[in-house]
Amino acid sequence: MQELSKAAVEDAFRELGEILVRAGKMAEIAVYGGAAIMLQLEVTFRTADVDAHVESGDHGALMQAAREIAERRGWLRSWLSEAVTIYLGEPGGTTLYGNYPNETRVGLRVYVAKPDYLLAMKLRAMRIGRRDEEDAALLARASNITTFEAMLALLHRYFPKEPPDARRVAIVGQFAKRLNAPASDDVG
Amino acid sequence: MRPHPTTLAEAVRLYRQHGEGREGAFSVLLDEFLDAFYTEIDPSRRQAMIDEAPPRTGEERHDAYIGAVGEHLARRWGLRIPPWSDAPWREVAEPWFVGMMGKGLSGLLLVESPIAFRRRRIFTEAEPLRRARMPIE
Repeated sequence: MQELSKAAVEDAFRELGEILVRAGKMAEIAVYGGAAIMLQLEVTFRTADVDAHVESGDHGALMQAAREIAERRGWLRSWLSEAVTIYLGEPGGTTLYGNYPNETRVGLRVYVAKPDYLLAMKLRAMRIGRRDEEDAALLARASNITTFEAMLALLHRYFPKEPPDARRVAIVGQFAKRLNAPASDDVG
Repeated sequence: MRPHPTTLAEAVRLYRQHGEGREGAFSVLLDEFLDAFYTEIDPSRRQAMIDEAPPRTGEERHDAYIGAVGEHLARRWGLRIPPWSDAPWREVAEPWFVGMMGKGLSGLLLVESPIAFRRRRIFTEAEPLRRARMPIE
Protein backbone atom coordinates (compact mmCIF):
# COMPACT_ATOMS: atom_id res chain seq x y z
CA MET A 1 0.00 0.00 0.00
CA GLN A 2 1.25 3.45 -0.78
CA GLU A 3 2.38 5.52 2.16
CA LEU A 4 2.22 9.20 1.35
CA SER A 5 4.36 11.57 3.37
CA LYS A 6 3.47 15.18 4.11
CA ALA A 7 6.05 16.28 1.52
CA ALA A 8 4.64 13.91 -1.11
CA VAL A 9 1.08 15.17 -0.54
CA GLU A 10 2.16 18.82 -0.72
CA ASP A 11 4.10 18.10 -3.90
CA ALA A 12 1.02 16.46 -5.41
CA PHE A 13 -1.03 19.53 -4.45
CA ARG A 14 1.51 21.70 -6.29
CA GLU A 15 1.28 19.55 -9.38
CA LEU A 16 -2.53 19.51 -9.20
CA GLY A 17 -2.51 23.31 -8.98
CA GLU A 18 -0.11 23.60 -11.89
CA ILE A 19 -2.23 21.36 -14.13
CA LEU A 20 -5.37 23.31 -13.26
CA VAL A 21 -3.74 26.72 -13.79
CA ARG A 22 -2.45 25.68 -17.19
CA ALA A 23 -5.95 24.53 -18.14
CA GLY A 24 -7.42 27.82 -16.96
CA LYS A 25 -9.29 26.03 -14.16
CA MET A 26 -9.54 26.36 -10.42
CA ALA A 27 -10.77 24.12 -7.59
CA GLU A 28 -11.02 24.27 -3.82
CA ILE A 29 -10.82 21.18 -1.63
CA ALA A 30 -11.12 20.54 2.11
CA VAL A 31 -8.96 17.74 3.48
CA TYR A 32 -10.12 15.43 6.30
CA GLY A 33 -9.03 12.24 8.01
CA GLY A 34 -5.48 11.04 8.47
CA ALA A 35 -4.14 13.39 5.81
CA ALA A 36 -5.52 16.41 7.68
CA ILE A 37 -3.89 15.17 10.90
CA MET A 38 -0.59 14.58 9.10
CA LEU A 39 -0.59 18.03 7.49
CA GLN A 40 -1.30 19.92 10.72
CA LEU A 41 0.20 17.99 13.60
CA GLU A 42 3.66 16.66 14.33
CA VAL A 43 3.08 12.97 13.70
CA THR A 44 5.26 10.21 12.35
CA PHE A 45 2.62 8.31 10.43
CA ARG A 46 1.95 8.56 6.71
CA THR A 47 -1.34 8.30 4.93
CA ALA A 48 -2.51 5.92 2.22
CA ASP A 49 -4.75 8.51 0.61
CA VAL A 50 -6.11 12.02 0.96
CA ASP A 51 -9.74 12.20 2.04
CA ALA A 52 -11.14 15.36 0.53
CA HIS A 53 -14.37 17.15 -0.21
CA VAL A 54 -14.47 19.29 -3.34
CA GLU A 55 -15.77 22.59 -2.04
CA SER A 56 -16.02 24.46 -5.33
CA GLY A 57 -14.57 24.75 -8.80
CA ASP A 58 -14.17 22.34 -11.66
CA HIS A 59 -14.72 18.91 -10.12
CA GLY A 60 -14.12 17.01 -13.35
CA ALA A 61 -10.86 18.80 -14.15
CA LEU A 62 -9.62 18.25 -10.60
CA MET A 63 -10.28 14.52 -10.59
CA GLN A 64 -8.79 14.13 -14.08
CA ALA A 65 -5.64 15.91 -12.89
CA ALA A 66 -5.56 13.64 -9.82
CA ARG A 67 -5.70 10.57 -12.08
CA GLU A 68 -2.84 11.92 -14.22
CA ILE A 69 -0.73 12.42 -11.12
CA ALA A 70 -1.53 8.91 -9.91
CA GLU A 71 -0.36 7.43 -13.19
CA ARG A 72 2.85 9.45 -13.24
CA ARG A 73 3.73 8.60 -9.65
CA GLY A 74 2.52 5.04 -9.56
CA TRP A 75 -0.09 5.88 -6.91
CA LEU A 76 -3.53 4.35 -6.62
CA ARG A 77 -6.08 6.28 -8.66
CA SER A 78 -8.05 6.69 -5.48
CA TRP A 79 -5.28 8.64 -3.74
CA LEU A 80 -7.59 11.66 -3.73
CA SER A 81 -10.71 10.09 -2.24
CA GLU A 82 -14.15 11.57 -1.72
CA ALA A 83 -15.36 8.67 0.46
CA VAL A 84 -15.33 10.95 3.51
CA THR A 85 -18.04 13.21 2.12
CA ILE A 86 -20.94 11.27 3.59
CA TYR A 87 -19.55 11.65 7.13
CA LEU A 88 -19.31 15.43 7.20
CA GLY A 89 -21.29 17.59 9.57
CA GLU A 90 -22.01 21.31 9.61
CA PRO A 91 -19.74 23.51 7.47
CA GLY A 92 -17.26 25.81 9.14
CA GLY A 93 -14.70 23.45 10.58
CA THR A 94 -11.90 24.13 8.11
CA THR A 95 -8.99 26.52 7.82
CA LEU A 96 -6.90 27.57 4.81
CA TYR A 97 -3.82 25.39 4.38
CA GLY A 98 -2.33 26.69 1.14
CA ASN A 99 -2.64 27.89 -2.43
CA TYR A 100 -1.04 25.84 -5.22
CA PRO A 101 1.17 25.92 -7.18
CA ASN A 102 1.90 29.19 -5.37
CA GLU A 103 0.29 32.28 -3.87
CA THR A 104 0.25 34.23 -7.12
CA ARG A 105 -0.80 31.44 -9.51
CA VAL A 106 -3.65 29.59 -7.87
CA GLY A 107 -5.18 26.52 -9.49
CA LEU A 108 -5.89 24.68 -6.25
CA ARG A 109 -6.85 26.08 -2.88
CA VAL A 110 -6.56 23.61 -0.04
CA TYR A 111 -8.39 23.83 3.27
CA VAL A 112 -7.91 21.39 6.11
CA ALA A 113 -10.38 20.34 8.77
CA LYS A 114 -9.32 21.82 12.09
CA PRO A 115 -8.33 19.46 14.91
CA ASP A 116 -11.56 20.11 16.82
CA TYR A 117 -13.64 19.23 13.77
CA LEU A 118 -11.61 16.08 13.20
CA LEU A 119 -12.12 15.24 16.88
CA ALA A 120 -15.89 15.68 16.49
CA MET A 121 -15.85 13.28 13.54
CA LYS A 122 -13.88 10.75 15.58
CA LEU A 123 -16.14 11.06 18.62
CA ARG A 124 -19.19 10.56 16.44
CA ALA A 125 -17.96 7.39 14.77
CA MET A 126 -14.94 6.19 16.75
CA ARG A 127 -14.28 2.47 16.41
CA ILE A 128 -13.46 0.85 19.70
CA GLY A 129 -10.09 -0.84 19.87
CA ARG A 130 -8.66 0.60 16.69
CA ARG A 131 -6.34 3.46 15.80
CA ASP A 132 -9.28 5.83 16.09
CA GLU A 133 -8.79 5.94 19.85
CA GLU A 134 -5.18 7.07 19.52
CA ASP A 135 -6.02 9.61 16.83
CA ALA A 136 -8.86 10.97 18.94
CA ALA A 137 -6.55 11.34 21.95
CA LEU A 138 -4.05 13.23 19.80
CA LEU A 139 -6.77 15.53 18.46
CA ALA A 140 -8.33 16.11 21.89
CA ARG A 141 -5.02 17.30 23.28
CA ALA A 142 -4.24 19.40 20.17
CA SER A 143 -7.58 21.18 20.39
CA ASN A 144 -7.61 21.31 24.20
CA ILE A 145 -10.97 19.57 24.40
CA THR A 146 -10.39 17.04 27.11
CA THR A 147 -13.51 16.92 29.27
CA PHE A 148 -16.68 14.92 28.73
CA GLU A 149 -18.79 18.09 28.78
CA ALA A 150 -16.57 19.84 26.22
CA MET A 151 -16.73 16.80 23.95
CA LEU A 152 -20.52 16.68 24.04
CA ALA A 153 -20.65 20.42 23.31
CA LEU A 154 -18.29 19.87 20.38
CA LEU A 155 -20.54 17.17 18.95
CA HIS A 156 -23.54 19.45 19.30
CA ARG A 157 -21.66 22.26 17.55
CA TYR A 158 -20.67 20.30 14.46
CA PHE A 159 -23.43 17.68 14.34
CA PRO A 160 -26.46 19.52 15.77
CA LYS A 161 -28.94 17.40 13.86
CA GLU A 162 -27.51 14.13 15.18
CA PRO A 163 -27.53 14.19 18.98
CA PRO A 164 -25.47 11.29 20.37
CA ASP A 165 -27.51 8.31 21.56
CA ALA A 166 -26.94 6.59 24.91
CA ARG A 167 -24.35 4.25 23.40
CA ARG A 168 -22.33 7.11 21.96
CA VAL A 169 -22.57 9.10 25.21
CA ALA A 170 -21.16 6.07 27.06
CA ILE A 171 -18.28 5.77 24.60
CA VAL A 172 -17.44 9.48 24.76
CA GLY A 173 -17.66 9.37 28.55
CA GLN A 174 -15.25 6.46 28.76
CA PHE A 175 -12.92 8.09 26.24
CA ALA A 176 -12.77 11.30 28.32
CA LYS A 177 -12.23 9.28 31.49
CA ARG A 178 -9.40 7.31 29.90
CA LEU A 179 -7.84 10.43 28.37
CA ASN A 180 -7.61 12.13 31.75
CA ALA A 181 -6.38 9.09 33.68
CA PRO A 182 -2.70 8.69 34.58
CA ALA A 183 -0.94 6.57 31.96
CA SER A 184 -0.50 3.65 34.32
CA ASP A 185 -4.15 3.53 35.39
CA ASP A 186 -6.24 0.65 34.13
CA VAL A 187 -9.47 2.59 34.01
CA GLY A 188 -12.46 0.40 34.48
CA MET B 1 7.14 1.35 -0.77
CA ARG B 2 5.80 -1.99 0.44
CA PRO B 3 3.00 -3.73 -1.49
CA HIS B 4 -0.68 -3.36 -0.75
CA PRO B 5 -2.12 -6.44 1.01
CA THR B 6 -4.89 -7.93 -1.08
CA THR B 7 -5.52 -10.97 1.11
CA LEU B 8 -5.73 -11.40 4.86
CA ALA B 9 -2.83 -13.87 4.73
CA GLU B 10 -0.72 -11.33 2.86
CA ALA B 11 -1.50 -8.65 5.44
CA VAL B 12 -0.19 -10.96 8.17
CA ARG B 13 2.89 -11.89 6.14
CA LEU B 14 3.63 -8.18 5.62
CA TYR B 15 3.20 -7.61 9.34
CA ARG B 16 5.75 -10.32 10.05
CA GLN B 17 8.17 -8.92 7.47
CA HIS B 18 7.84 -5.21 8.15
CA GLY B 19 5.76 -4.53 11.17
CA GLU B 20 6.51 -6.79 14.11
CA GLY B 21 7.20 -4.73 17.18
CA ARG B 22 6.10 -1.50 15.49
CA GLU B 23 3.22 0.05 17.38
CA GLY B 24 0.08 0.24 15.27
CA ALA B 25 1.58 -1.66 12.32
CA PHE B 26 -0.86 -4.57 12.64
CA SER B 27 -3.83 -2.21 12.69
CA VAL B 28 -2.57 -0.29 9.63
CA LEU B 29 -2.12 -3.47 7.59
CA LEU B 30 -5.50 -4.81 8.65
CA ASP B 31 -7.17 -1.55 7.61
CA GLU B 32 -5.43 -1.67 4.24
CA PHE B 33 -6.63 -5.23 3.71
CA LEU B 34 -10.17 -4.26 4.72
CA ASP B 35 -10.17 -1.41 2.19
CA ALA B 36 -9.17 -3.88 -0.52
CA PHE B 37 -11.84 -6.35 0.66
CA TYR B 38 -14.61 -3.74 0.74
CA THR B 39 -13.79 -2.32 -2.68
CA GLU B 40 -13.98 -5.82 -4.20
CA ILE B 41 -17.59 -6.57 -5.10
CA ASP B 42 -17.27 -10.05 -6.61
CA PRO B 43 -18.11 -12.65 -3.91
CA SER B 44 -15.76 -15.31 -5.32
CA ARG B 45 -12.85 -12.87 -5.28
CA ARG B 46 -13.79 -11.81 -1.77
CA GLN B 47 -13.81 -15.45 -0.73
CA ALA B 48 -10.31 -15.87 -2.17
CA MET B 49 -9.15 -12.90 -0.08
CA ILE B 50 -9.82 -14.79 3.16
CA ASP B 51 -9.33 -18.43 2.10
CA GLU B 52 -5.58 -18.74 2.48
CA ALA B 53 -4.44 -19.49 6.04
CA PRO B 54 -2.45 -16.57 7.45
CA PRO B 55 0.85 -17.52 9.14
CA ARG B 56 1.00 -17.66 12.91
CA THR B 57 2.51 -14.54 14.47
CA GLY B 58 3.10 -16.10 17.86
CA GLU B 59 1.29 -13.21 19.54
CA GLU B 60 -1.79 -14.69 21.20
CA ARG B 61 -4.04 -11.67 20.73
CA HIS B 62 -3.02 -11.06 17.12
CA ASP B 63 -3.49 -14.71 16.14
CA ALA B 64 -6.91 -14.83 17.80
CA TYR B 65 -8.00 -11.52 16.30
CA ILE B 66 -6.94 -12.64 12.80
CA GLY B 67 -9.07 -15.76 13.21
CA ALA B 68 -12.00 -13.62 14.28
CA VAL B 69 -11.52 -11.32 11.29
CA GLY B 70 -11.56 -14.24 8.84
CA GLU B 71 -14.68 -15.73 10.41
CA HIS B 72 -16.47 -12.40 10.87
CA LEU B 73 -15.92 -11.25 7.28
CA ALA B 74 -17.30 -14.59 6.06
CA ARG B 75 -20.39 -14.34 8.30
CA ARG B 76 -20.92 -10.65 7.64
CA TRP B 77 -20.70 -10.84 3.84
CA GLY B 78 -22.23 -14.25 3.18
CA LEU B 79 -19.04 -16.21 2.42
CA ARG B 80 -17.77 -19.62 3.57
CA ILE B 81 -16.03 -19.51 6.93
CA PRO B 82 -12.41 -20.43 6.18
CA PRO B 83 -11.45 -23.65 8.06
CA TRP B 84 -8.10 -22.22 9.20
CA SER B 85 -9.94 -19.70 11.37
CA ASP B 86 -11.09 -22.51 13.67
CA ALA B 87 -7.60 -23.53 14.80
CA PRO B 88 -7.67 -23.98 18.59
CA TRP B 89 -4.84 -21.49 19.06
CA ARG B 90 -6.88 -18.74 17.44
CA GLU B 91 -8.49 -17.68 20.73
CA VAL B 92 -7.27 -15.91 23.83
CA ALA B 93 -7.03 -17.59 27.21
CA GLU B 94 -8.34 -14.62 29.18
CA PRO B 95 -11.21 -12.32 28.16
CA TRP B 96 -9.88 -9.41 26.14
CA PHE B 97 -11.79 -6.15 26.00
CA VAL B 98 -10.11 -4.41 23.09
CA GLY B 99 -8.79 -0.89 23.05
CA MET B 100 -7.82 1.61 25.67
CA MET B 101 -11.48 2.01 26.62
CA GLY B 102 -12.25 -1.68 26.54
CA LYS B 103 -12.63 -2.55 30.21
CA GLY B 104 -14.54 0.64 30.93
CA LEU B 105 -17.06 -0.31 28.27
CA SER B 106 -17.21 -3.98 29.22
CA GLY B 107 -21.00 -3.96 29.69
CA LEU B 108 -21.50 -2.60 26.20
CA LEU B 109 -18.93 -4.85 24.56
CA LEU B 110 -20.24 -8.01 26.22
CA VAL B 111 -23.56 -7.36 24.55
CA GLU B 112 -22.32 -6.10 21.20
CA SER B 113 -19.32 -8.28 20.35
CA PRO B 114 -20.11 -10.34 17.22
CA ILE B 115 -20.03 -14.11 17.59
CA ALA B 116 -16.75 -14.56 15.69
CA PHE B 117 -15.03 -12.40 18.28
CA ARG B 118 -17.07 -13.36 21.34
CA ARG B 119 -16.43 -17.09 20.97
CA ARG B 120 -12.70 -16.36 21.05
CA ARG B 121 -13.17 -14.31 24.28
CA ILE B 122 -12.56 -11.10 22.35
CA PHE B 123 -15.00 -8.34 23.24
CA THR B 124 -15.41 -5.47 20.82
CA GLU B 125 -18.09 -3.33 19.23
CA ALA B 126 -20.90 -4.59 17.00
CA GLU B 127 -19.24 -3.53 13.75
CA PRO B 128 -15.56 -3.81 14.60
CA LEU B 129 -14.25 -3.88 11.03
CA ARG B 130 -16.05 -0.87 9.63
CA ARG B 131 -14.18 1.48 7.34
CA ALA B 132 -15.23 4.49 5.29
CA ARG B 133 -15.12 2.21 2.25
CA MET B 134 -17.32 -0.48 3.78
CA PRO B 135 -20.40 -0.84 1.57
CA ILE B 136 -23.50 0.77 3.02
CA GLU B 137 -26.43 -1.62 3.20
